[in-house]
Amino acid sequence: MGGALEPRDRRGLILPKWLPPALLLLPAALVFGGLFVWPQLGLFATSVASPPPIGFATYQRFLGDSFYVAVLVRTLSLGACVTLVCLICGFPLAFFLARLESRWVPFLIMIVSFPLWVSAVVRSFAWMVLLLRNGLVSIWLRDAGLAPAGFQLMYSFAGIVIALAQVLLPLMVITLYAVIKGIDRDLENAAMNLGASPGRAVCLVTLRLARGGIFAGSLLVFSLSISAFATPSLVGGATAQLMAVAIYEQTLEINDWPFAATISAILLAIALSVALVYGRLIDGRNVPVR
Amino acid sequence: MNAEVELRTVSKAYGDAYAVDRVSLEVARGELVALLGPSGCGKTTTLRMVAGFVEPTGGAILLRGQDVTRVPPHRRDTGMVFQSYALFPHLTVAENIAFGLKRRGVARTEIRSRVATMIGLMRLSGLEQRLPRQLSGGQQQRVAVGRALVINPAVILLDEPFSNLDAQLRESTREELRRLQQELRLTAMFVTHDQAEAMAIADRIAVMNKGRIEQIDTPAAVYHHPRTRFVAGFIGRANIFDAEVIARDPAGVAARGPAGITFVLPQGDHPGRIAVVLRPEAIRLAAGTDAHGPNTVAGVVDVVAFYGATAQLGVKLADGSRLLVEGSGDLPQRFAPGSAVVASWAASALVASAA
Ligand SMILES: Nc1ncnc2c1ncn2[C@@H]1O[C@H](COP(=O)(O)OP(=O)(O)OP(=O)(O)O)[C@@H](O)[C@H]1O
Ligand SMILES: [Mg+2]
Repeated sequence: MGGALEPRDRRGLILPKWLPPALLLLPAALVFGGLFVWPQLGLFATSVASPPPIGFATYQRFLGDSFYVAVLVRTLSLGACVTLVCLICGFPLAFFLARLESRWVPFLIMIVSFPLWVSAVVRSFAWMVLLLRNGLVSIWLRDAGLAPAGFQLMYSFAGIVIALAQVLLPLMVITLYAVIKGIDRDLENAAMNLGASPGRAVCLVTLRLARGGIFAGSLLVFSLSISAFATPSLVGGATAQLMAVAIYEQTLEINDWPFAATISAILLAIALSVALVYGRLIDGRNVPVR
Repeated sequence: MNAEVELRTVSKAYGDAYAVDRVSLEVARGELVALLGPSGCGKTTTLRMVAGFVEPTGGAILLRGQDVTRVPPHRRDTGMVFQSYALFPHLTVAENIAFGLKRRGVARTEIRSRVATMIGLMRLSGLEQRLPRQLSGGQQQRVAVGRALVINPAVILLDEPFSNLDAQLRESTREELRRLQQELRLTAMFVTHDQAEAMAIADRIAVMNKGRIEQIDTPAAVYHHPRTRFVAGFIGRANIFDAEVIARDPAGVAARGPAGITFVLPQGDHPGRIAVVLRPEAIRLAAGTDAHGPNTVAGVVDVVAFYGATAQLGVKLADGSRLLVEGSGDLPQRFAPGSAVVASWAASALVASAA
């Protein structure tokens, strides 16, 4: 009979069950292992080798220096702020696109993804035009009485948040779009039929079921914002005292590789633990996303 | 008129195409009306307009006498059972059923007792804490019905509620729903494309075709007095002949049909060209070759289908068309394929509908 339990090659040799998936994973695993895991391990080894052979002097230096602790806190709050802005702006937009019955949807998604098409340098110069003291946005804010004279968004934390949120918003929108599109619209209809206003229906049903997408999108935006370098340094200038900027200074300006490796290891560890905690928080009742 | 639901020339156009075209319909209190028709005839669209998910492009919808045409779904008093059930996957059975009561601000203790009652009524005891994906199709369907019923809506709307169940379960579930509907005196509109299903449980059937209601009547009236050719063909099995009226007198109307048949129908106000409807079970067969007089035709048995208590025969007529005959289970023994037969029927069995 042809009902072989294990895959055979053409000569009838029985292949172990794990081999085909392993072969399929091999290219990605090689690239990931060779270009990410291995260097990362090397970096980690560098960070725990002062004084040699094993020592944690660089970690003590980082955590004992209030300047670097402030850099860490600033970086994490930047990540949190950008993620929050992207979620608040991205969910309604993604919901609108997912529920729009129009052949223009692919085109609209392309427009949404536009910021990703422009280089960070060009994008940041555009923000300068808007955010500098005599830029449009700053003038509007002052004219509307929302900001004092001489106010500018350029070279401020808020300016960095705005510029980063702009470029990362497409990732949030596209992630959420795919998830919301997979949620049966009749679930919202059912909620409304049972007496929930449209807004409540979305909160009670769509938002709950989109948890997986909210998690994935937030993680993407958060990790990219805490490791961003070009946009924060261009828009933030001297205020951009962030982890990525600190790593840049330690490697290319001060040439202190063990300390740079330490900063980078701390950043990675924090990003991973944030992902774990956030995942637990959002995944209250493990609902599979359809 | 104490109609719970009233549709007044309700239309829905998508571009130039009318999904629903000037549909008028009233559902009385405690009545179950089936919307029956082929795929794409506008049944779901009609039901969704009553629920408020689709906005009509013309006409008015009234619930308990109030015009709700522009009222959003959450302020309408309808309970919808979706074809896919649309159970909230992140909520348990009990939470799904409690959803509508919570939105209405019902007190916590009352919610608990009403949910418990509904769980009992829907035979879901023991499943309260399950998630929808942990239920069988039939159980999911009962949760969907219970969730809609518990809020006591003016009308309960069901979109093909049995289509995801297997044949056996479908029959028992629909009988159960009918019993529940009659016991609780529920007003209900129910969409189906299965005529047997509509005949079995509806008080009245609205037969829809291409966005319009062709006839709305009791199952018996729709079956015995189809007003249009479409209705005759869609409800049950029917022999339908194009015929031309050749004589009218007080005794009846004579019309010439195909294969040399002369029909004599009861007196009626018929136009010149009509479609004559003859139900297969109204035909009597006898052995023979000569057909004399009106309401008879000769032919040859060519197909036989035996169903146990009943049987169906196909009789080939002179013009090559086939007459469908239904009778008791001994029919195949009496008329083997190839035997010459004469078919006849009573004038009262004939119905003329618009050609
Ligand atoms: N959003 C829409 N845009 C354009 N046309 C639509 C839309 N929704 C429905 N239609 C059209 O309206 C007609 C009626 O659709 P409807 O879903 O009411 O049919 P139905 O009778 O429920 O059919 P079925 O038995 O297949 O469910 C169909 O021809 C359909 O193509
Ligand atoms: Mg339908």
